[in-house]
Amino acid sequence: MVTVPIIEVKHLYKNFGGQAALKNLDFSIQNGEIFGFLGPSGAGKTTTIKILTGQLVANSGIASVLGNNSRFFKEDIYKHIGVVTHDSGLYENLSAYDNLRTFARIFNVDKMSIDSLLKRVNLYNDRKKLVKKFSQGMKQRLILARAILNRPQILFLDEPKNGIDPGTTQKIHQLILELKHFGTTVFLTTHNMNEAAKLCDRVALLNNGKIAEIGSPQALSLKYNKKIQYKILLKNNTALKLTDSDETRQKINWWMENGELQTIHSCEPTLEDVF
Amino acid sequence: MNISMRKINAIFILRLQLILKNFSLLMAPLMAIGYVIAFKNFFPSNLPSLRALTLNMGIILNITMGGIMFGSYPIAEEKEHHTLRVLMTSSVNATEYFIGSLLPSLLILTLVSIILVPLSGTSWQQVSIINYLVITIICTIISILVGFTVGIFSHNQTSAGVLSLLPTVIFTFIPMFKGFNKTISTISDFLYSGVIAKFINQSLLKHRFTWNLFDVGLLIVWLIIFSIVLIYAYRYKHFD
Repeated sequence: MVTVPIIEVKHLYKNFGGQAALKNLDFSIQNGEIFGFLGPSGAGKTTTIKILTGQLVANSGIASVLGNNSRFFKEDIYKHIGVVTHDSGLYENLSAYDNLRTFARIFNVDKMSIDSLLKRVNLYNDRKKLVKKFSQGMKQRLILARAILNRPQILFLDEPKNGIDPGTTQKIHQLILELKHFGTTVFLTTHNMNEAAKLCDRVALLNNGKIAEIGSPQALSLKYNKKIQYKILLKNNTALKLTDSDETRQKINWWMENGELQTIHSCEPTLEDVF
Repeated sequence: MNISMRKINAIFILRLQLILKNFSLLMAPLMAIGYVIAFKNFFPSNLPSLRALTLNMGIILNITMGGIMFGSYPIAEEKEHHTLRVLMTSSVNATEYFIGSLLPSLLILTLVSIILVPLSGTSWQQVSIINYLVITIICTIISILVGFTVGIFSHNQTSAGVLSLLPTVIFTFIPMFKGFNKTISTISDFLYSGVIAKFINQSLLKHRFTWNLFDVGLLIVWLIIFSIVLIYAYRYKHFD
């Protein structure tokens, strides 16, 4: 059975002045996927998200979300998508609860779900605190909570963990995986390759406005694993890096049989190496 | 374009909460109240011309300065804190945003306009409440529309303050000082805020105000002009 992509981008071009930001972008995303859009700063990640969410118009090509061309989005489409960008703002003079209550009214979401959402992002105890007193990590979690308040079919996350601590990052990762479990499609832009490898079903590597590679993190790593190597640590604390060969395999077998092997890791390239 | 009452209500409550927590925004209506109380206490004379001057200044401060500030600062603040884009990507359209933002400002400024009358020592028998409400509500709406337009062209609250200056000076001070100079008086007669001054002066000094085609037309024309200006400003700039 052929499945219709939930996001489809065809021959997308975007220029700013004379500068090309996106050059012939082509990709599609299936329902329920976590899709990573990776690249260094200035590669075109935020531009792509802005076009996909109808905040920016492409010079040519088609960006369609849930079957709607983003160039002609009507406001109703936003009932089905959540957007978190690095400059998403909060009402700083309102409490966390009142921030979510406003959007619950807009989306016609039952106010009972606000408390459960605040618990999910560990902000329930701070729900009455003014947002201006929140740390960066707390604000980021509240922004994420707001974006998923309407249970969106697609969640766009633009660099969701910029400037936040590892503990908050962990919580955000957990939440993203939970959303996937409930069928939400996640479009994640990041320059953090480890984050993408951990979370994404597929990634696109973007460089200078062009997609250089696209596929699952594992498939990309294996594609570029030209020289198979193993990192070995023996019980006598000797660390070795050996290239795959008959001799290496015999050595590994011998160390295993004699109980001398402490750890062994394959050395396929990371997404960062691939990039 | 669909308009949802639920979303207008959500924006209304949001805006009301934010206005009531923003002391600098409340400065204009508070200044109007403070000015009327102070003027009445410093000059306890019951002279109708003095009471007309007091009430005129209070109401015009509240309606024009207050309306322009209430319209421009919140949009500029939302732009500055990146919340306007969040609203726009949360299925709220521009019409819902403008209506939801206009209503709480109109409510607060109209309540202040009402209490200014007894505070100035004027009796409701001297001022027709229906005419008073019609004129103050229409003029407040026009001022808020001016404020919205200023907000669209502002990047932050500081630029909103700077851009508000010219319309505030024109619509606030020209009718206030119409009694000082014939030219100013003539210009004031063509301003929407000039209708307020005329209404107060005629009600208190001549003991009756009668609508004429010129004043009705003037209010309608200003309302249409600033509605069109706002629509064009939004189409040209959106909320960028």
